Amino acid sequence: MTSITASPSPTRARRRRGRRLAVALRTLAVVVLILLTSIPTAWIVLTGFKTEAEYLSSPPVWVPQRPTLANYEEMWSDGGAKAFANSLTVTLGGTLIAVAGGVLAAYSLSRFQTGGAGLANWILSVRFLPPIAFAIPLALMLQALGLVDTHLGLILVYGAFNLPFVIWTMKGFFDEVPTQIDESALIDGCTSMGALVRVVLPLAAAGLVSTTLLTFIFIWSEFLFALVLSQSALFTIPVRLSQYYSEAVGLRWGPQAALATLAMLPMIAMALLGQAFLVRAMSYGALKE
Amino acid sequence: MEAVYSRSLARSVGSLLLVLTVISCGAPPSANTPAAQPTSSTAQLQLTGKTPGERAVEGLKALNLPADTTFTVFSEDLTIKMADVNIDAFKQETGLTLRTETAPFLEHRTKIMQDAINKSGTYDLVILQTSWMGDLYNAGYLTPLTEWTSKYDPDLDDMIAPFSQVWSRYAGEVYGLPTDGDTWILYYRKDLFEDPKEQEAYKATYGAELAPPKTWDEFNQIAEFFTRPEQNLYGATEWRVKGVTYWWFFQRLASLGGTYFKEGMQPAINGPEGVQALEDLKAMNGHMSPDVLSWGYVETLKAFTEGQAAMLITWPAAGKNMVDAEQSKVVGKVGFTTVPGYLVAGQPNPKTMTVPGYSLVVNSNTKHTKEAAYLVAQWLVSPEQLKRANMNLSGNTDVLRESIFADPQMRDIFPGAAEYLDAQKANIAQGFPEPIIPGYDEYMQALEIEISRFMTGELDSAQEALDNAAAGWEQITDKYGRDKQAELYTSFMDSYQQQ
Amino acid sequence: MATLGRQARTAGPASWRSWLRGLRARPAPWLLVAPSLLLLLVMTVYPTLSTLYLSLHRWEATMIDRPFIGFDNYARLVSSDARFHNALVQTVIIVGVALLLQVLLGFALALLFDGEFWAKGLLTTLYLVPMMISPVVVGFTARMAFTNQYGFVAQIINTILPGDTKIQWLADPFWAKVVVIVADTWQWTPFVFLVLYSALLSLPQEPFEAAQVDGASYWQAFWHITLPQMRYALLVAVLIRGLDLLKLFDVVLLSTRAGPGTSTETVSIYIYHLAFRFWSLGYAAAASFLLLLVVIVITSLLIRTMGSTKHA
Repeated sequence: MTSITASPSPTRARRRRGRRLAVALRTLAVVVLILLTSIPTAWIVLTGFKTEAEYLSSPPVWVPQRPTLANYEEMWSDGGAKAFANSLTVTLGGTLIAVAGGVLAAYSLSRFQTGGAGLANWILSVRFLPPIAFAIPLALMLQALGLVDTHLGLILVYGAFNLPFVIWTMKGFFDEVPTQIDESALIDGCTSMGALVRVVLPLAAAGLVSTTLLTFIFIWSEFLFALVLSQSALFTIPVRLSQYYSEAVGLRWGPQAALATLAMLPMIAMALLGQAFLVRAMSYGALKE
Repeated sequence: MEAVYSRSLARSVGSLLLVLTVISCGAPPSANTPAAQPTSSTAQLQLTGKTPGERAVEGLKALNLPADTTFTVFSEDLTIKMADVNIDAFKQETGLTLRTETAPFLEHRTKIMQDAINKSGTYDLVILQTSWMGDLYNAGYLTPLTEWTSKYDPDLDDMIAPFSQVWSRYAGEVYGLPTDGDTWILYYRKDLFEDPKEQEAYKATYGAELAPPKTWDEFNQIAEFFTRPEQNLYGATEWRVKGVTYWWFFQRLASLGGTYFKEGMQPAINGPEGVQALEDLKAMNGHMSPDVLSWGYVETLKAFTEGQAAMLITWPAAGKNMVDAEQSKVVGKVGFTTVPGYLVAGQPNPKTMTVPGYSLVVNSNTKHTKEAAYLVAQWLVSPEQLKRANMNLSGNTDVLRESIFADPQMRDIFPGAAEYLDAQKANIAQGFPEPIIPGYDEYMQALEIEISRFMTGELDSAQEALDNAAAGWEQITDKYGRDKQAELYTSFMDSYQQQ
Repeated sequence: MATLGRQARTAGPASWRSWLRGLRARPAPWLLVAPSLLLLLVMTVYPTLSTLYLSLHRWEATMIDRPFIGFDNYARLVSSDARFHNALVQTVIIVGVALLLQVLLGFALALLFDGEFWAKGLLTTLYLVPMMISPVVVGFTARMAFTNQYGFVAQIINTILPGDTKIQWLADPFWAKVVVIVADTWQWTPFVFLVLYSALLSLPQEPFEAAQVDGASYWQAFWHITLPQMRYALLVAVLIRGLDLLKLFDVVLLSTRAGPGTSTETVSIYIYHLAFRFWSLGYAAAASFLLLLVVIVITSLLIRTMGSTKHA
């Protein structure tokens, strides 16, 4: 598996003296693009440090003159800490279930074609179904089980709805590990599980890491289920962010931006760290590099 | 289509799922039956307290609740302050704990309904819009309180009519304790109105004295006069964002002599009065900031306190809030008066939208004994606690009790407060009510969508907008049962007229 | 002990008996799949059946009896619910325009990135950052950016516009849609870019070079050689992005709140409104079931596409 950087350079016919210019121009274009598309993100980060007079000023102020941590303090004590804790719990739990269950299932689908194309396709199709269609019956179901507004309820839902992504992506990664490897492990005395854990998984480790990271990011950002399946105790960060739109508090953009920054930056950092295998993982194994 | 489901898989699981489906799908909720309450400890109680608050404390003490008992009060984030300011006092007086939960204003109803559906008793007491009582009664969420209002006497008569009798009741029983004297006030920039130069200019242009308007025509004239975009000043500012614009519509409709329903629950909103009211409402946008279409309570208040509007019709809370805002440029410059009206048969017929405001109800699924929860509610609406809430300048609990209207401290709380309180009472006196019937929220939302579409130009014709809304109303009425609705509506409107 | 080996791919078990036999012979593979399968069945198949069941009843939170009413909910949705029709229209408009925009931009960017430049790996990953952000954040950022008095985008555009005209971004039925489309495009064009870019990388270069050596211009070679080979990737990108756009909820709710009026009220938001504001669960279930059917049809198309043309 190769990362984006290691791809062979395109082999269009190029005259050598135009080449360095082309490279420079292309770099410039890309950098400009990145700068432009980073403006909204930068704005949110900066707004977190502005005073109210600054973020509610007309015309808008870009860089805070007197950066302050007041927004972070307000946000943290006014539900931010709890939202963070809830998000962390629910995301870790959901990711754990999705990845653990998904890896096992993916191995089974890859090596044994369990359930044939029918099962595999059905699992993939779940990924595209609209959450609102499930929100209603799940709300009733969780209520019957007493799991509304509990971490467990949301963890189970998140685990379930992220299984398809994990299964399909890991299946793709597993498919690339030749079965001879499994067979030699079996001959050496491993069980199937042993073969999976000791031999195949390490070879697909990079894929596992990126799949786990992406699953984490998906669950962390999820809104609809968190909104509908919680009442008062269980608000995640996205839900808390949506509460900033309120008649009472008005335009508290500062704390809202502070919470958003706190939520965004770890995700971005993780994505940058795991960038090597984003391509494969994000296109659902539909395309390989 | 490819076989997306493995055939045998579906088969073998089908029966299991069928069983599950049958088991957990919708058993009807239990009807609103009052549970038997253990009153043995309070049955013999002789009450000596002179105020509702003291009696409530006595009752709570007699119930001998464990020391760590905690009551949870829920409301949207502005109204919840009336409970927040009383948390310490509650601890001091009863030794028990009061805590609050909140949600944004537009999520208020959703959260309550969620609690109703889940029957989890997450909230013990809820401060909600009284007009929702019909729906919540049907959802089995409310607890009848009449037994305890007789026993402990929350002194409802001290509350200004119609809150005292009409809006605490539904279907013949007391279901909620009113918490605030909701109405609207016309706020105006006294400094501008009393400025001699402005008065001269106004007289020269319109040939009349510049004074707080008594009719909508005068209002429009004054608004036009003060609309000076180059100075960033507009004649008025008012709620126009999609949400509850319908209240401002009903105010005008009522002034023209219109109402909600006719005989047999036929909608009465799409007649000529309705069309005129809606068109005039939109025409007023011309004298307001162009951004007003995305403004709600907070934004219009901010525009007024920034000095960008000469007039504002909104809740009494604004009167307090505008004094409290650190950046308010209009402290001491505000006048308060009644909402104007249309001329009907040559006489001004002013009507102020007087929504039933908020009430405290006891969740029928509360984990505490209902009597205890009731006592907390009575305590919260007793004069001492309400006064604390009323005097909180950043809250939105409006004065409700006559005793507090007359209280010197209250009348002195900010410059102009006495005038403000009198204006509030006068507006309540000329009030037009909201009916408490099932489906109320649905009716209003159906109307709001059409009003919003008309305001933003999605629909060109006010008649069309109101006809759409009326059609929606007919569907809703049929859903809930035309006769039942007619009965509840008529009995409500009658009881309002009588008080 | 489980045996390994590639079996002939079957489209599905041919009969009960052979399936059962297979199951008994090799329990281990099914055991590996069992936990996930169970969770998925409980969380997706059961709710789907439940939705169907609900949709055939009148279920209101504020009414006690819940009678069976057959297809009345569906009939009402299809024939007389103007707000539902409007939601469909708004969804189609927003999905259509956003999809077109994202495919064009994504393809253009894929071509831009398909060349040599400095810090390629870092820059490419930086471009993907918007996808890592919660759509909730994207939504309220758009709201902030397009608020006339304080927004950074609104300010720039109002400065450019002649005279005193200001666009009422959040209060105008047309511009509100623009806000939503811009927000979604900002966030998800990187995804389209990624899919098309990886496809571009895997294309064999010889035909392209050969054509250019033969005298074809860059664009001619692109049009006749590159583009046809990208058909599969384009289809996959369009279908996946289209399916995601049909679900549009977070961004709209946080930016325009489905307003003004109902001009950005997508189907998901209308269903949410029916279910969790009015608690007409039977009616909402019918609407969600219709949405589900549409999505299943498109998803089958996607799966068939992915299954039929497999790249190496």
